[in-house]
Amino acid sequence: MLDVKQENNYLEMQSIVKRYVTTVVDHVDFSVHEGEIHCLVGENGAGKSTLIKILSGIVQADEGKIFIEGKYVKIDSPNTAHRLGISVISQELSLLNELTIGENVFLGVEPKNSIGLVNWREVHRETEKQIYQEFEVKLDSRKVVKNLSIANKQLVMITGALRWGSKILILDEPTARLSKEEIKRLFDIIKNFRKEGRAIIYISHHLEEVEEIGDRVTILRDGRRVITENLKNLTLTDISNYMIGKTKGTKLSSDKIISRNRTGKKKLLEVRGILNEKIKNVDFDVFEGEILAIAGVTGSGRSEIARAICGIDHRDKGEIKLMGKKLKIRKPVDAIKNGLIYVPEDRKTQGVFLKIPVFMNVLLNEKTLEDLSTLSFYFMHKFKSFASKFVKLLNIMTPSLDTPCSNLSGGNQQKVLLGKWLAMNPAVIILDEPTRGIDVGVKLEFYEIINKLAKKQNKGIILISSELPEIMKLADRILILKEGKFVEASFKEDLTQDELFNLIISKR
Amino acid sequence: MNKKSLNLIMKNSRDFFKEYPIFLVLIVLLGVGYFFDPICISIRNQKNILHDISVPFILSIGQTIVMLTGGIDLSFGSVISLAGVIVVILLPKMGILLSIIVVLIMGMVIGAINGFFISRFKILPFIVTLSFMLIWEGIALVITRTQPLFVSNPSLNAVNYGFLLGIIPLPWVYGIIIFVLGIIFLHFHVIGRRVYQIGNDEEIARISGIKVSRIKIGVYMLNATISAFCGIVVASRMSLGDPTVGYQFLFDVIAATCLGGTLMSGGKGGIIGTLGGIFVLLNLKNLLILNDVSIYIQDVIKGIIILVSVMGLSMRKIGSSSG
Repeated sequence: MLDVKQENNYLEMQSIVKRYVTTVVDHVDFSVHEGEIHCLVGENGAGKSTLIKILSGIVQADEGKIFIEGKYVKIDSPNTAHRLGISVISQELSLLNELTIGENVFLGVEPKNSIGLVNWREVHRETEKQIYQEFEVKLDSRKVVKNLSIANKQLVMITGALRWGSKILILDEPTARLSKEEIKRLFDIIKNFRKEGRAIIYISHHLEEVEEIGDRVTILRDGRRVITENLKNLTLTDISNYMIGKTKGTKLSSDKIISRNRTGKKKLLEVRGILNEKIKNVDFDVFEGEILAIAGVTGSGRSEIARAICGIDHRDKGEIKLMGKKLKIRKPVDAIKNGLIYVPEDRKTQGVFLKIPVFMNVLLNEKTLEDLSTLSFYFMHKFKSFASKFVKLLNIMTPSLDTPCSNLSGGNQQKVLLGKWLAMNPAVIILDEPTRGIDVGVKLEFYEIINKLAKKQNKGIILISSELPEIMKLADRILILKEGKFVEASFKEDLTQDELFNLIISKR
Repeated sequence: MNKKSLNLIMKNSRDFFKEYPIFLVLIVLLGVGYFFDPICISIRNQKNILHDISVPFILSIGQTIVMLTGGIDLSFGSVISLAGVIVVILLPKMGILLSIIVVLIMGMVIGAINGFFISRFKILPFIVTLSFMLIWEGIALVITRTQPLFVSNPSLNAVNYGFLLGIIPLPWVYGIIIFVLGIIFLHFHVIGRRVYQIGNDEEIARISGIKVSRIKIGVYMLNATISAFCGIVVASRMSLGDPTVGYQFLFDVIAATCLGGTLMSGGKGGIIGTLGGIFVLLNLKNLLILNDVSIYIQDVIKGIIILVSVMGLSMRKIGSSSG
């Protein structure tokens, strides 16, 4: 790549590459003008957040150059990014909760009086003035941030970014937790920034928002830039097609079309009226041998449903019946004992025990150990023959049952982990992002296993996934979740992947 | 008009007690004490308490600042012992002023070592300072061959027994000066604010361009220096360099800081609350002694009161965050 800069680009990223195990950002070019709102879209894992992390100095690019006003800059820390005038207003609000609004706004740039002490009067006066001038909102700057609404916290963050004199504002899913009116107000603010000549990068899952507010859009897929285009020249369908990587809506071939006729199929799980802060009155059923997918954007409450059902999060209301029997689930252990198992998303913290042999890892849960022991004595041969069933079922590649898990490949470790949950002999299994971060080959094996569990062993499976191909491949039925409510239910045969995608991202 | 100002006072005091409920505990405690033995709130008795309060109070100020960053310093007791021993050894050779300065510099270095291990190697402060608690005390014991050293030079006496303007005992002066400086530092100085900011969220502070490691090292240096100074005061009071004298403060200081409302996770609290905490603790001790409670029962009661008070504080926190 040549170091030529284009005339009116305020920020220019050239041929950025970032590799972890795989290449997550692959020679991406990206630029923003002054007074422009440039949207960045892509599916989960397309490389948006990595690109933003590179820009804000949280991670460093392996290759590529960044220019600001035509000058080459090296962003090696968040501090440098700040000094260069780059601020991120992110989904997770980064404010110091126990401190006042004013202190948060002036964090790191506190005004001092003649004897070197912080001039609080100026801090609070300036903060209130600034917030009022920019947003026409009156806030008491001496109040602690903790008790503010999400929208007002966002204003505090933006004010702080302006205080740093940030010219480049990155808004990462800023509307995720706002109400309609609050979104409208935020958009007015953003448009105002455009008028002031700031360079704005806007990241969102909601394509309507992108269309409403953006000037240009860059679409990423699998770490590569697909297209950068003026939003006037694109329709919503175009954008979503570019995101998924198809030019025409083609139906995914499904290996077996499951009959919709459920005669003879028992209802395994009945969930009625689940209600808490994040889930709004959710009902659904899972049948024997069925794979039910729950789809939705990040923050729609996908995992929260599972957590509420399994007693990990609290429920205000709600009834759960398993095979017609009403369950009292207050703690996670209640769900496990009754045969309702949640395999969580974040397996890093729930990992296998590396130094312990494969067979013990499969058994390492209270329920299995209890079932297999005689008067609390453990017999190894019993354990091993039990574990070997799962090694076979899951096709775990291990030299022997006694091999420590640290000698296994990552994909096989994942299988061992799944084995641990299956060993509890659940009736219904909730899999949360079961294939996140594993290679394609092992992924396919996982799909086979999941299918086998449902179709051969007649288990009910709830699949929570952000990967649409995965849902299209596995699910019999798809529920689409938005802001803690189901908005759409559909059989897979009635949907193409594009339609599903559009349903997920369409209007709230 | 009068009614108005009365209302204002009511409102202000309500805000004050809401912010620092420990003073409410203090009032209740003194009320109960008065019921058992009216002498407890007499000026003479309170003067006795004040006599003992300076050293633990000064130590609690340092500890509060450490805790506000989310850390803890357990090594301060050993620093007291070591400082006392060293000052007694140096006194005949260097004279009073120089030996005090040397000991204070020693305190700074000790604190820097604590802070270095904590911020550089990311070891938990609890572990680092627990280790150094053993190390410094061990060194003090080795130097003295486990026997207390007697002060041979009367010039050290003035540090504890002197008076300002002939009437105010010097330990009070130290306490008041460090308290006032502490308040100004924590509330109005940029570095003091950094202490709170880091305690709230280290990562956000770091991303905002705050030099977290430096501030943390500084905080441990400050605390160790304060501890070394207290070591000199204690040596002066007892005319001894006792290599194990520091332990007795460990419980009071940590307990007072927690009672005062400073969160062990950092970011919230302050030394006004700590002042209340230390008064509650020492009054409680005093009450139990006045009422001839057996020393073993004393410990039981102390434990219960601390548990209940801290529980009350944390319940209040849960209540306010959900409401």
